[in-house]
Amino acid sequence: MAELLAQPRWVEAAQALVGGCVDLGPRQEGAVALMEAVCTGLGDRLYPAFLRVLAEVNLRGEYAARAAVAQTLAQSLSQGRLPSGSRAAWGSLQLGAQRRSLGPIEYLCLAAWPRPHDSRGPAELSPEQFQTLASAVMELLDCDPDARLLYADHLAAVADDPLDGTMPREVRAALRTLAQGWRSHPDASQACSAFVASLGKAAR
Amino acid sequence: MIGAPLSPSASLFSTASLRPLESPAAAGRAGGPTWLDGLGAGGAATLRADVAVDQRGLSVQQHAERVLAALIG
Repeated sequence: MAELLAQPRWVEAAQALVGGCVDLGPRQEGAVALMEAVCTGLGDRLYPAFLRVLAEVNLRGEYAARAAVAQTLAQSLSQGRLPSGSRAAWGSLQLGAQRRSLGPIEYLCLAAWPRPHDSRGPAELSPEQFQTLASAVMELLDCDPDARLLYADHLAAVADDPLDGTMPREVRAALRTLAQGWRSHPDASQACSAFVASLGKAAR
Repeated sequence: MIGAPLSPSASLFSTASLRPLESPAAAGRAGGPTWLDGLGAGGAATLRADVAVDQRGLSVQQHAERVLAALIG
């Protein structure tokens, strides 16, 4: 099983991802397959490392570098091949329970759920961590207008899917707020703040 | 991309099992270091939309291995 290095070389990984997307063609099959191969290589347990790499691309990348990755994500989404991490449905407690793949933003949204009525403890991401990481991934997608609109619509569809057992009701509501805000304005930070506020209200 | 089953209670962001190898064990939301630490820190390295000559024309798998080699062992 893959283990994260003691000192992961985040910047090197981010540059390699950018270089791969550019070399293979940001809107091409190869770049989409590259993201899938990276996530497969990491496995579900280390999927958050992929999200960290995306955040590094956003924080350190020149515009063309960020756009190459954003365009690849848009192409992935339009093909239904968003690089995803698998999580158990929120109500399941057994190993091998029903699982669903979640794309980067919806994965982070579920990780930010404080689970107030659940013995499993606090959220995996604090509101501050969620804001930092989700904003970075969303800002990256903002580099491509198609990517933002596509992804915002995708998030709204996830939020409105009553048959999907992955997310509890309060996360769906907050996700809907995030999707609507982000679709209206390319302001990731504001949309993330609205998500955190909505979750906070539900927990009270 | 379905992998080995995880307990739904497993934290994917802050548990010891996800901490970098050889890093301090006690951490997570309680205040210690997590693998999210240092995001964006460590200088102003700029990622460029360039491909080094020796990396042009690599296969999908070769590009993926370059990414993974910087992260996992």
